[in-house]
Amino acid sequence: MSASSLARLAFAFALAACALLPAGYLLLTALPILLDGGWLAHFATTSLPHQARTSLWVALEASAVAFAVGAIPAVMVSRFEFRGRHLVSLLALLPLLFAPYVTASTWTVSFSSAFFEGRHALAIQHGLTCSPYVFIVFRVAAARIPNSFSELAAGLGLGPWQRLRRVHLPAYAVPAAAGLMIVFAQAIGDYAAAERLGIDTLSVGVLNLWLASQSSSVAAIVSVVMIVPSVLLVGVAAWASTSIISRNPVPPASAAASRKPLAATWARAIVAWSALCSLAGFWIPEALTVRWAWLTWDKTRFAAIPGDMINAAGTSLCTALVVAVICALTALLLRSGGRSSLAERVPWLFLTNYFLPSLVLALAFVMMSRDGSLGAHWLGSWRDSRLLIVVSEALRFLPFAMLPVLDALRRTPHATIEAARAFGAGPVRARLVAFAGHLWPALLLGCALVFMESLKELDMSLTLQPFGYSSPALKIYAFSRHQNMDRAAVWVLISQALMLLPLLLCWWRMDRLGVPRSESGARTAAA
Amino acid sequence: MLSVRSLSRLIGQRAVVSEVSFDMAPGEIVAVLGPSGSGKTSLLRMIAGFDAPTSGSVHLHGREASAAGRVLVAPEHRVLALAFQDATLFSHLDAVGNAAFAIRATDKTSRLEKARAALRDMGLAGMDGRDVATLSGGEAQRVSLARALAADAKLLLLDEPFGNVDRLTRIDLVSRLKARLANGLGAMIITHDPADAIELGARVLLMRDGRVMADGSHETITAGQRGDWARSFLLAGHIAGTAQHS
Repeated sequence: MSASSLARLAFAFALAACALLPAGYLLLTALPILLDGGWLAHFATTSLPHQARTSLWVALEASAVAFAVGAIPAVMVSRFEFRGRHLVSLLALLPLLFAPYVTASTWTVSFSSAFFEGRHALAIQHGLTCSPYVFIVFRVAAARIPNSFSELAAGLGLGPWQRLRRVHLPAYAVPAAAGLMIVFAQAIGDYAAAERLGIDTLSVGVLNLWLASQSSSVAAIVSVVMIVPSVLLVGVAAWASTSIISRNPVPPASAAASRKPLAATWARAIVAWSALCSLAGFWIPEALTVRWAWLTWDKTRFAAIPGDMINAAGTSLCTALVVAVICALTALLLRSGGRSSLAERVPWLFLTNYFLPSLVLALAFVMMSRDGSLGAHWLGSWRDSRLLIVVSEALRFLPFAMLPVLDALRRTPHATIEAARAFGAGPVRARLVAFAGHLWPALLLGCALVFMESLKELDMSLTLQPFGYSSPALKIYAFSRHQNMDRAAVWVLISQALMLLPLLLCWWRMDRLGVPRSESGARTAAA
Repeated sequence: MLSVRSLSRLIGQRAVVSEVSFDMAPGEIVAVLGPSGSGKTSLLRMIAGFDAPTSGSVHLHGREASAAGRVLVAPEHRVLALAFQDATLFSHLDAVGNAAFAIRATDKTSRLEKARAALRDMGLAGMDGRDVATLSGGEAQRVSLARALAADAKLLLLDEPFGNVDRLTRIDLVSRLKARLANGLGAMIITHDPADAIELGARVLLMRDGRVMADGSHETITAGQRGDWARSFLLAGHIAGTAQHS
């Protein structure tokens, strides 16, 4: 084995260790008790199975909501040209500006109906919050499924329902699976919104158990319950990525979906549907928030806001930068030699931290850096800084950038780097040129999503906040717990102001995907 | 079997197909030739029912299938089979699954048997279970043709089916296609290469700027007057093809 291959292998193992560190640590801590046995039977008699069932139902309902709100507009925007198309894209992305615990608080404070404090309301909040991700995943996939698939099937005699069953559903299986994973990870992993509404979910149960026992071993054991299914999911995702998805031919740009005109009635229906969904997911909570902030605006606090904004943006920016560096290193790993299935599978291990509930991830960091531990010794005074929050958030949200980057790498053949080298570019410049088309825009989009998620993130900030640390999410949570939505509203608006630029970037990227009708017409004419 | 009358299609203000009329008898093979941008694919898409004509009509199997601004018979009811230049294989199906895609037999065994036979006819014996992503360009095109030929169709529409394959594969595919078309299946083939038309013994429909410039056998057109565009196009294409072949 050559030196470069060895270096690549070592690098791959380092990345894998980085990805699996929290889950691995929890497993090792729990191992002695796990080997004793009897723990599973014990947990079966506790409230955890009931909490797990509740979480599962919430996730299933949230998936139905997210797919109805996100997937339908995504497919319509990708496949058809109609008046209001740009608006539908924007409306679909707007719920990114709200975290589920914020909308849950808004609804419960404003409306007294018991429905808004129930399980279904929680599922709807999660569904609406996840719908932009489902929109993005389906938007990207639908833009790449060539029209010729459907046309060919029709030409070969398949009717609309047969085409749906035999062509469209298999083609959308991958984005559907990805969308489901996102919704399940968010809905099962969430603590703040469930706690706010008083729903006894698995995440709430884990924290309660940990707080009640104050035992790291108990926390580790409970976490293992979460780790096993998440590792299994990662295994399936990694296998599917290299065994199924990566072998699918990437259609050339010329075969990308070109949009067809949509009948006016259908166009009005889809715009109305998007507007209706965004009412619940964005406009009503936003109107209430603005009203609260307006009525109780305290001008004396104005001077402190820029500093708070810079502080909040700094943490999220650091998280996005850590993510960008890991993604860039991964790109380097995958494009620094020939094909390697080991190297291709390593980045998928980072999904483990996304499938783990954020509280479990935070618990791992708490345990790794507790007093007297090796982690505390190594970190020194850094332990009590925001470093742990930045690292844990980066590990959790990394898939939002990593998956677009892996996709972009698939679309950047190795030959483009070689071609650039042949035309005189050095190794670095050749990669910069080759990656310019797909990888940098994908990384930018991913980092924008990570920035927004980091700004909204609460569960890990609650667990890992150092002394004196504050963030908009913590302030919103603290105020909304005591029904002080008028004071929380200002912080909601501040965090939204910070998210505006990344949101516009996402909108711009989503709007540009695919082939406009004018170009498709020109192409058809040219043929 | 196919009757096209004064067919036109405008994209914006530009006519991509203009006043095209011709008839096709059952079992006839027609090769549509012409330079890039001459409207060949637009014509095929209107015959297949993917696009509605701006004016004119398409009659298929005795029925009016398309009229001005309207597709009267949906593509799936036109009893066609199709193959495109990019093989357009469904990545969730293997080679035999793609070949069996349009076979209507209800019995799965007989459907697969027919698909395997179609693959064999295209020189792909023993490749039934191959993942289509691992096929070479020529192999993918063979599967695409096998799928079209295995379909229970009355008319075959092929849009540059040999466009992405090397010369030797092209010759092999044309001869296999010719053997399969000998049983009376009608076919319309869009191609750049006059040699394909000669090999298939096809009637030539030569297009330029959306219009039909010549309609007849290759020999009739090339026997025309010196300086005639249609004659020059066919001869130039044939010479280029022969040179490439040799």
